[in-house]
Amino acid sequence: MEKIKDKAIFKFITVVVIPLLILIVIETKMNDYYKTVVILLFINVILAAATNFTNGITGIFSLGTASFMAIGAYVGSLLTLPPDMKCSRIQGIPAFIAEIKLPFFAALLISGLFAAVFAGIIGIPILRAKGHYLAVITLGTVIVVKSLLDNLTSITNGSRGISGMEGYSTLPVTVLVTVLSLYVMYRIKTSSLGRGMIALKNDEDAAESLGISRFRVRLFSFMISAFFAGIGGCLWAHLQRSIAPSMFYLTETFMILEMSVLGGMESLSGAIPGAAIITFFPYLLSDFSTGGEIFGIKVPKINGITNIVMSVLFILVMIFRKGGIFRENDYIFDAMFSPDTYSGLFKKEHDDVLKKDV
Amino acid sequence: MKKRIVTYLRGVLTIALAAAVLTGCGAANSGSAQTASAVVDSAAEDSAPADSQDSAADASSEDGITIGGLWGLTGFIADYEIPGSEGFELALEEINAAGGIDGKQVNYVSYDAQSDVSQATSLTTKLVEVDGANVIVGLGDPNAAIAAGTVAQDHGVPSLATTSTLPYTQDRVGDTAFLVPYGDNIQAAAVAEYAYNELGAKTAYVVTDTTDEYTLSLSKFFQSHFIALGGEVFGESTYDDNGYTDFSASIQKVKALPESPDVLFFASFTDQGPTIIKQYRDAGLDQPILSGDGLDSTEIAEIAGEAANNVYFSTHVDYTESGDVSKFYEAYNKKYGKEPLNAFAALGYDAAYLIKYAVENYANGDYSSESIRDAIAKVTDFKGLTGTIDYSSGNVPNKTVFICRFNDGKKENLTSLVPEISADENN
Repeated sequence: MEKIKDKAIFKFITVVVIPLLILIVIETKMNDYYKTVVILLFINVILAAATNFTNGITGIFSLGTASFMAIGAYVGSLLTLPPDMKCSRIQGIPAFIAEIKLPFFAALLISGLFAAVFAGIIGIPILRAKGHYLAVITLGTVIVVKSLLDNLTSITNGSRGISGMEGYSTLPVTVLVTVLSLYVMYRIKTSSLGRGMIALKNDEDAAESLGISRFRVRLFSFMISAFFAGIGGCLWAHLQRSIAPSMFYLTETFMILEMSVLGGMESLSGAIPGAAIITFFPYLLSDFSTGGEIFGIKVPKINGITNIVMSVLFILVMIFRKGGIFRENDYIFDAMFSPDTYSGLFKKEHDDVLKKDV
Repeated sequence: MKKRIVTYLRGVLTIALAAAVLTGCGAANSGSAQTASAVVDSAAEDSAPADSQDSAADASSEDGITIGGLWGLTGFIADYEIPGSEGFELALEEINAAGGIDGKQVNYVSYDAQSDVSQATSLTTKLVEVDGANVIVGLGDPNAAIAAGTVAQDHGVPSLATTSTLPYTQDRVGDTAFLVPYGDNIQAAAVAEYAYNELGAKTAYVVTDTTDEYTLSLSKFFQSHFIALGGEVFGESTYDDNGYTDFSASIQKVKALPESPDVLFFASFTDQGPTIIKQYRDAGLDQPILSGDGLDSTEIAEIAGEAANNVYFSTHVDYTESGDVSKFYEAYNKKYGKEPLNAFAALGYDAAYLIKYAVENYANGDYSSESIRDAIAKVTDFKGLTGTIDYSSGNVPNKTVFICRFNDGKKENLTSLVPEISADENN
């Protein structure tokens, strides 16, 4: 007799039906505030999963996700803004950029591609380094990208940033893009290429002796991660509808890293609890930061309470569960993206038993 | 086994510490006043999110207006927003104690946007949708003010920025975005005029922080007005990091000029203030230093000490004035046990009375967001601590600029002026 948690119907209900029902309730019944927070959660899940893809799975500890996100956000925004708005707000914008106006999904794809190409170009030199050196260099890319955005004023409008994007990142769009992105990342992870990445992380020499090209696989992983970070950035820009270089700097870098580490770096599913904690906590605690009465308890005004609670939480996770909440397990996506979950619904019990005997 | 016990002990201790931090602060501050009855309302609404939109709307039309406060109480903008929120809350307390607006108590809900744009936008949505705010005050630095203002604009809710001095706020956001302070074009022009006329400066050198909309436009407007007056700008150095601490490159540039400039203009925030001033003075450059309201902080004079002498900046209020200003100064001192750090406390205070003035005079008892927006737009003669606010020619008021300087660790008010700006300088 198999355990309940291994049954297809249980998996189907917990990872597909319940989340879908919650999302439908949020979309139809809740007001914009709750929708915004949930959209933010999904975008953060993409960003955290993209970070896990390099940091946990391939073992390239990259801090550069925020810079790829920035590229995605800027490329996406410049592609969807109406030409007259671009001309009036960004002084000296080249005509060929000003005249482009693409539908949102095309812009989304292109923003991801831009980020991936950028990652490919910088990846060739920087992926020669590893460990701490790589982390520092990728942190450098965050600073370089911010500096570029600050100073390429004729394209990016400098630190003034760009505003006025349409709010294309609605809940259904974001959920769709997130699920697709996670599916692609999960499939790559479970393919032979993905196993090559994991092998490289565990033992480079052994992996190379088996014919896995260290350079190619790592570069590919870096570019895939950047692609999805770019898509996350583009979604983010069309949610906030106002971007500036300072938003993709160290705070964002470490926020993404926190999500990734809290959830479990080596698991793509870890992105979900990690992003949920980091996204929801500031909002749950926003009442505390200005004082007031919550659940009948009088709470004083404590500035910076969010930071205190988050750091304590982070320390607790580091003490009690070093690998993050999910460690290297991919419970959620194993269930969500496996065909067995869906085909298992229609099979009779004895089919499973027969299969096991064979 | 022993190891396990130790591990759990550690965990328990950590939790206990966290709890102590929370409750400990609680005991110390429990007297800190929360304005109005709004807190109870908002808590009740939080527990019923699904239908809160309707209930919030109902509550606000019956009980008087609901004001949403969005302040950056932590992060880089906190130096300006904490005094602003304190001034605002002080005024609100006075208003409610005197019977409220139109004889109805004002509801007030506020959040800390943490100087973060994504927090600012989603908390604005929360203020509007969940807490039913009819008007939003605070909003943070220009970047956050534009993002949060856009959200408010989409919901038709007026926003009153107390910290952002971006002159083209209305173009970027829309007709629901108002500024309580003057715009950067006015303060930069006033500083330029003061330097040219009073200090006799004919040449200047500019150092600009390029990380924020505020410092960029301040620098731009200073240069254009100084040149329009007949002065000459020798050059401009920029730095693009909030944590920048080494200004030797720009100092070398100034020293390498064939002729030393009569004045230096720093478009920077409080954070860099003491560092940049000290480094320039240490390098032997002791000409007058000019800046905007970003350097308005008594702390700078305290930290930089003598180096801060001969530093001139624009500000929004003269705290040494008698009458309403001195009453405010005393009330602030009494409530918070300290002097206002800068003029933003007075701007926050003005924002509350501006709402009262607009609603009582022009809203005719209709507390919907549209009606309050129209009421604020009709204000032509509101006399606040920081000058007269008139929105008849746009959502950025044209107010008097006060010029101050630091002298021996103290802020000293010098004069006030209204600069004349030609129309083409405003873009």
